[in-house]
Amino acid sequence: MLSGRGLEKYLPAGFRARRHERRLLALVAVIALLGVSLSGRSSFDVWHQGVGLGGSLVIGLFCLHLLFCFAGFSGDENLLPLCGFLCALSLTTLAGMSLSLALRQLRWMLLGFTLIPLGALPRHWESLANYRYLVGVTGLGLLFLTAFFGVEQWGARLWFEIGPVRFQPGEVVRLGLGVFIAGILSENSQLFAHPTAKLGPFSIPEPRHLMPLLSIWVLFLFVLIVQRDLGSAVLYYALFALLSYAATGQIVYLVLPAVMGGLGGAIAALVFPHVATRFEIWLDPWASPRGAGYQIVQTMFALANGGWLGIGLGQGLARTIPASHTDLPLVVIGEELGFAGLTGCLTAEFLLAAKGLAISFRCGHGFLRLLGLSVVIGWSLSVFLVAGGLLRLVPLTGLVTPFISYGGTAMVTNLFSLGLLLNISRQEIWS
Amino acid sequence: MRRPVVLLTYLLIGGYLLLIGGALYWQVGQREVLVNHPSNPYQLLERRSVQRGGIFDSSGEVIAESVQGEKGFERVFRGTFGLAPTIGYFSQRYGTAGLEKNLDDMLMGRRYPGTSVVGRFRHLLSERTSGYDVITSLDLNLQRTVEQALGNRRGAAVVMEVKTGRILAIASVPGFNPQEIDPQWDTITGDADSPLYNRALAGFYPPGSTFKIVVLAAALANGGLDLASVFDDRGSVTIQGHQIANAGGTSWGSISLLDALVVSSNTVFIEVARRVGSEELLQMAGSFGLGRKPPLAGDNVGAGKLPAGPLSPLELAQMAIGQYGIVTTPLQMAVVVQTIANDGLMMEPVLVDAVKARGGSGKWTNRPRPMGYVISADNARKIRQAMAEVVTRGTGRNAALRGIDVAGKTGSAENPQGRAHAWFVGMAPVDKPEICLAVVVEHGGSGGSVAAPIARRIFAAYFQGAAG
Repeated sequence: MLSGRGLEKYLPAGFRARRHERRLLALVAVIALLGVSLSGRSSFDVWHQGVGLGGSLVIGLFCLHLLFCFAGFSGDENLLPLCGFLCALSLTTLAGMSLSLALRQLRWMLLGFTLIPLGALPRHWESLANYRYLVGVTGLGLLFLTAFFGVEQWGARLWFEIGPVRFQPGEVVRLGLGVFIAGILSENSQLFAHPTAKLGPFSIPEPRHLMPLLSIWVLFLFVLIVQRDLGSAVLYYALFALLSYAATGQIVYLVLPAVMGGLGGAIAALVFPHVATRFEIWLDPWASPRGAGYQIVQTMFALANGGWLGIGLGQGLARTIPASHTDLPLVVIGEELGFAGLTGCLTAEFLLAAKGLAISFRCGHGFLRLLGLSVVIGWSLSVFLVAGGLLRLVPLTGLVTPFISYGGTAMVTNLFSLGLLLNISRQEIWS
Repeated sequence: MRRPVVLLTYLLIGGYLLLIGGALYWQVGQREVLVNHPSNPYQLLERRSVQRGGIFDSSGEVIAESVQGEKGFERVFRGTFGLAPTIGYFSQRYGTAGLEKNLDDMLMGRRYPGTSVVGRFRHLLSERTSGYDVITSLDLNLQRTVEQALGNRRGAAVVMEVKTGRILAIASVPGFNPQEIDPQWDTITGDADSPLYNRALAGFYPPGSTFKIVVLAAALANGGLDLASVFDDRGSVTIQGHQIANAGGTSWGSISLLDALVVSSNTVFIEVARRVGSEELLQMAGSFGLGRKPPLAGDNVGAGKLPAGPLSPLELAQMAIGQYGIVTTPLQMAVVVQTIANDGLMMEPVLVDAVKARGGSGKWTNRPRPMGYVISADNARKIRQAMAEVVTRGTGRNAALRGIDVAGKTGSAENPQGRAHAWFVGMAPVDKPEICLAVVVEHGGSGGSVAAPIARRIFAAYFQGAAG
């Protein structure tokens, strides 16, 4: 329609420039409408509820596209369609569970869409670096508040309640941590890149510059032990290690944290039984197929039932496993759309991360580059830890799958992060 | 800045490939094991919510069906026990077998059986509550006769429609009751008579003298011989130091090829095979489908064995009388006589006529599929003529029927396990064959006295039924 060649020469320059994005979004629109309506056949009262649900997502995406066109936005054209595709898959899995879940998720998506321009369009996000301590302290505050006053669910304290509002600050903390680390590293990158002290065969920075590393290590153990959240602990910790390495190019920042993290984890596993349990379930879920291993055993059945092409949208059983909308959307996809669907989903996440990686490294501004990297690494680690947990490559954790899992806070935060990435991708700040 | 880009990119790609590999492992590699795992909830739920399709004979009589019981659907078997190895079972605990296994996707309604695009689309969109019904080519009345005729012996019989290759009856005895699979598993699997074993489709028996019709076919096709060709029968021949004698040691003297088949002379057929040559004989046996899996769906169909040439004179001599290294299944021998009965045109054996939606129209209908001419129509008629005389005045007299001309060939196949296996393969009526069959009784002894009477009862029942 709008992409017809004859018509295009009459459109403003901004429209012509974002032709690629428009075409990809048209593809996403088809997938969203078909997926949500087909998946919701059994849970919806009338068929057009599915069309309305998928249509709202499509309209939201096209509104963003129009806004970018009118604003003459020069950022990347692949990120929005990729994210739209993942959102469509998310709505598709939720539509198969219940209309109200899908509606709530859609509401959060649309709210998040309004935050994308907020992240993408302003020109001075680099000044965020000045507020790194504020952001970092706020993030830590949220983390502590949740850890001590949060609501416990499924054996981990990840939720926080203020009156009627209930949210999971994990993703916000991750973004805040990213800003904090990116700020510190970009400020002191010379110090970190040219270490002067010696530790055995390795050159390390002066001890006082190692303080952030040590404090993050303490944070890692804190989250692991007090909050009982193995996934988040590994995520924050690995995020920091990879960012330090990316900022300095010194392999010691990967090796040292790996050793320290391994030691910390091993000690925690020895001292605290709940950490050890995680590993035992991972190694042998059949020991308690109805107890602790239930989720992973059911996951294996569901994935196997899916086979190459899946058993059909809305036909699966994975959605009846407790917490499947937050923890197991990938399993629902793998069961109902099979290996093909799961691969499609993982490929979209991979392309999103790969594009983000390229965008970040192309960015000329040190802080923004690290900020972009923190977003991309955060997403990639989440996907790897979640999907790897389901596929038994690593122990299963309760992390959020970006743009796929049900969850308001995470969805909004990730959409805002996407806005930041779009901002960083603007050609004006290429190095 | 270069190094971090490279390492992070490799990490990303490596992680991605690991995940894809993991998905491939669980969804494809481990699929078989996990899907059939007894505590896989999908199986249980599917079996509770979907009424499995029925299996029917060609007249619509029920062989197996699912009925609503106290605890969900129960599989009820209404066929005969000799049919059970072919139809198979459907058990919660022990999985599926036979036709129940081969057609599981259609019986459970997972796969749309037809080719229509609209139908396939509707199948995709419809809520699945029942599977598809399978209409077999079997005739339960004839099947009962076949099993009564076999009695409590061990053996098998396959009855086939000549023009179409449709299997009208297929018995493997002793059979079992598929409904008793769960409570009786240990008894059934531990039975020395192996009732689960499908003797009709996968029972390996040396064909014995029934193989002489294949030798005859080769002789007529490229041996330069005719039914009237005369041989000198001295009662036995000695090849490479081994003596092979006629049954009973009778010496027939100067005898025509036709008469040699009628009396089943071993010495004459050894000479015929020598003249035909091992390459030609093996080739003829191969084109009759021996040593190859018949094109009938399912993993319980056997291929038999055909030795690889060239054969030594002794091996060739033993093969001429169906003994050396050659092993066939009853289904394969039924296909051999079907080809001869059908003027040389081999038909694909068929067990399923149609697949239908419950109470609805046919979604998929089988059409007879020819597999090509094996011998000329002229030669096929000559072999039929010779086989007819086997029944009128030869070893197959016990298969003769009043009013209907039967043609056939007996066999008493020696084997290292004990008494000879009794064979009879045949067809009727001779002029325009309608049905053909292959009967084998394990360690039954003489084909003429044990297998031929069984064949007669089957023919009698069929033509009585067809007439009345």
